[in-house]
Amino acid sequence: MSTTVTTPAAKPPALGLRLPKKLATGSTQLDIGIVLLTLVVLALVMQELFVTSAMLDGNLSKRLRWSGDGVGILGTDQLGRDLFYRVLAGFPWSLGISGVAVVMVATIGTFVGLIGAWYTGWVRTVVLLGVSAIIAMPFLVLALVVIALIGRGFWPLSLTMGGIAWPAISRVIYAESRGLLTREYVLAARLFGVSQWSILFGHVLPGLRPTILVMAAFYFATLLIIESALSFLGLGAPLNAPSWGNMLSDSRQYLVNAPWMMFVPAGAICASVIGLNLVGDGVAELSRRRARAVEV
Amino acid sequence: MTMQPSSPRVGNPEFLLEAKDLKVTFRAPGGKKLHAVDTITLGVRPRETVGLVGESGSGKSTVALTLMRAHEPEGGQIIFDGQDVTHLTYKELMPVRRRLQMVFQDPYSSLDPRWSIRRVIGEPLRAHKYGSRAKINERVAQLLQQVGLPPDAADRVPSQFSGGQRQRIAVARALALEPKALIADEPVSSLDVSIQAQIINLLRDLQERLGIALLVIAHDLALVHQISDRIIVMYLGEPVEEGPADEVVGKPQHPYTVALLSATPVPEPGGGSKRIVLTGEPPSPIYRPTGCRFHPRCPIARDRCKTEKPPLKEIGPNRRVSCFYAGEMPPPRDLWALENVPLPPGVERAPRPFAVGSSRAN
Amino acid sequence: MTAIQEAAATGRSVATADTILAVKDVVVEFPRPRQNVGFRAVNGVTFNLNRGETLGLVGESGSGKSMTALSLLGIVPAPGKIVEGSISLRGRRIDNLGLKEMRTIRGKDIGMVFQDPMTGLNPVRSVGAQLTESVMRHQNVTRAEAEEIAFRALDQVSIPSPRDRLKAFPHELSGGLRQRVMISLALINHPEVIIADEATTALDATIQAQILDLFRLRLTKATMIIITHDMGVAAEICDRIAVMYAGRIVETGTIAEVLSNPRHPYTVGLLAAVPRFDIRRPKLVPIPGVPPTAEDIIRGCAFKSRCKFAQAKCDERPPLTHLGGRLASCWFPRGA
Repeated sequence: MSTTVTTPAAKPPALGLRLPKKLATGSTQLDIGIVLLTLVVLALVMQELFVTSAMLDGNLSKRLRWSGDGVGILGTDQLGRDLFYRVLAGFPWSLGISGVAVVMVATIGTFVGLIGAWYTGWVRTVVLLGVSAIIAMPFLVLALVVIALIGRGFWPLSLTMGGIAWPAISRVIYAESRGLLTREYVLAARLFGVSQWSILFGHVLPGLRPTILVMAAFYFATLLIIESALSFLGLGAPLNAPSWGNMLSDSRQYLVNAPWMMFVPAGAICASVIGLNLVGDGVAELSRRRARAVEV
Repeated sequence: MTMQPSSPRVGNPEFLLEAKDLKVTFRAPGGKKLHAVDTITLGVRPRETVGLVGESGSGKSTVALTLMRAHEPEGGQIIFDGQDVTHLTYKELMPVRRRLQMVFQDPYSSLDPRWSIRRVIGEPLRAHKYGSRAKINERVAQLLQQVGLPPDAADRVPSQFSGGQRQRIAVARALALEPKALIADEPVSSLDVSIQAQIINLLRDLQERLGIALLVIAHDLALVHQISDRIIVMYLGEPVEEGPADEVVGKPQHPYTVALLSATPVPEPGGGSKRIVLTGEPPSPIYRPTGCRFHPRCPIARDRCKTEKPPLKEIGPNRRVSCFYAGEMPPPRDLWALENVPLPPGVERAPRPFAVGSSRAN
Repeated sequence: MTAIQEAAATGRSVATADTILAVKDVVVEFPRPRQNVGFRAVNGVTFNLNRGETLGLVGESGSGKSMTALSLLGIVPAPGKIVEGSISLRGRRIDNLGLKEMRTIRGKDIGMVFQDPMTGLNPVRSVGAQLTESVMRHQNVTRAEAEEIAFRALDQVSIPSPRDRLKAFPHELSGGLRQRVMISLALINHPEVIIADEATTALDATIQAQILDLFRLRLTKATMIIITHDMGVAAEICDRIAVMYAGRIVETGTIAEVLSNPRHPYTVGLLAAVPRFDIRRPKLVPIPGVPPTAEDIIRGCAFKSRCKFAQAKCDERPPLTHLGGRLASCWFPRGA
């Protein structure tokens, strides 16, 4: 179409939230996501500053209480531990494990995807076959096997998840990079004699940035759920660690008497997952909008 | 940095950029061969402008990209400045790339949307280790001025510019290393009419000032005629007619050239009735017609054309045509007689080039 | 003078019983972020289209010519909308119709040909299926009759072996054939008006010549709006042209009047910029500067920053006025 219509690059936040101007991103999703994640980070900081190990100790005389004298705002569990402090203490476990994993996923995934896109011939064939082979295996089963072999704990769990989740990202990065490599500015750079590394780091990688960010946000959320699932199955964090999956697992036997034992960790998981997904959606929406503004 | 070839000069010493029997084939789906270029021989002299004209599928852009060594030719030779560059590696090509540059059709996709203009124009300079950051910035400022953009353009990104301004940026980038030859692939076809003229004038201007050789690839014969000294008309991967610009449009010999000339819409009321309309569409470069490639659409084709391929025959100085019946189809309308359309203020009507013997510049 | 009086002065664009389409003071506005003043892609466009007439809307990117066409079809992309003016088809207002009614109008009363035929054709259905379906939706015929109409529609636009082409899918056809199919689809329900938006721009010169011939020779009686950036194309097939700049018509009249004696400096510049064989090189005469974009806020004459005849008076917007057989909006018109 020959008519130029610039799509408004940034709308003021549609939501009634009165965010400071600099923070308002122009995407309602992103705004809500950022608010949720800010709360999560605040919780993380609070637990670092205020939660001592004494607060995590149980008091059997106050077990399975929702309210009462000396009971925290979120009740206690079957050992009389304060759930408010315990769910706070769970942040570094749950977010930490999936955070480390997602950094691995993004790095390995991007690297392998780029290699597959840049080289032709047997290198590409090997990369694509390898990626497909790993994707073909059921993720949870694979994770269970590896953890059964190397044991549980923070690092085994995060490294295992990171080590087997990256192929899905590399496939997306591969497709996206192939697209970027056909752009005329890449051809122009080649015809100027620009080195391959400069093309990869100067043109291709920056072009992938929005995709990587979006994928990382979604995978962070997915890995968080998987981490909880593994802990729930008793294969994640050490048994007494206040990981949210462990807490959920504990809550099973007391569902009728003490339903809050389930709702508290579940709420923490939901808030983090929704926040991450909204941020992912928001970033995707913004980069689409920017791309449109660029084309017009 | 400049490594002049120590080997003896090859090729025609008259030409700066030369293609000899160039042939480019692509693999089409199903293992068939797509004959993109088959075959072309051309030469561009220093300070000369050659126009390569054809429709989509004629292979004109493939010629450009092959000369730049972005495609591997299946046969033939590419000679630049006395050096055979057909089989040089990416590294060996570096000194050639300094002196041979390219401007692309679409300034929207040929500039990285995330880069500042300073970085865009500086890219070839950095690749060729032009000098310190300050020296590069100085050169960028100089180039911006040369293409008629304000100095503060350097700190903006491509999306802040219009199509014409972006094409100026692309031209500045191509000129950064002071090339001796420039290939421009449809440099104005994505721009508005009023802006096209600006870019064409800029290219001419720079060419005169910097003394570069220019190979312009375009589908618009009228436009190519405006800037070229010589014109080569391509059809289905091969040249069908070539010669001095005024002669090719003034005394077209090949029926395809005649049809292409008459197909160009001219702002003259009722002009459409004086036109040769070819039937059908260009055949696929995978399944090419036998004999003369143009015969299925040719208004004057005879039996001979179906089986025998006419050679590109010399019919005058620098004048070649590949048709058994060259000159038998007269142009249907006098393109020098748009009496109903006034000339722009201050412009004289050009004399008819029919009497022109050799109109080559210089 | 009102627009109608002005229109009356030009003779040919008077609203009469023969008027098919009457466009009056149409404004299409897009909100600007963080600003009260919206961007007016179309800024008060008025014209009448009479039966059997071909009107060319000529302009460059951003002139509002395509947006004018979209507003006629009721498909202005959000967040833009028609904020002022009226559009009437045979005396019936169509700018305020609902989605459903508008869809009927688009299929039956107004035929549209796009620059890229793939935007108007369904890639996963055969040409025949699409034509037949359109016929059956808007005409009271049986399937067999509809198929016969589809066959004749393809034949009418000179598609070779139309019977076979009915079974073809759009991607199996060449660009030129695809555009012919698009035209036959636009024509098939005998619309009152055909709008062709840059219908030949993407085609090669020899194919463009074929399509222009189709318009010129086969569609002589059709009522059409041709949207193009190419003065040459307009010259070949239009009876009347309206030159647009920055959302407004700056000059309008019969094709012969405007081409042989352009009055608005922009029309003069546009004509001078067209490469011609009869101009001695090196004399391409560009229009300096760039057209205004959606971000620019225009006061007075939109062309003044690029016009070498601009004076202080041009800070005031020139109205479209009667100038020797046509309308032009300039305080200091060229020519005579």
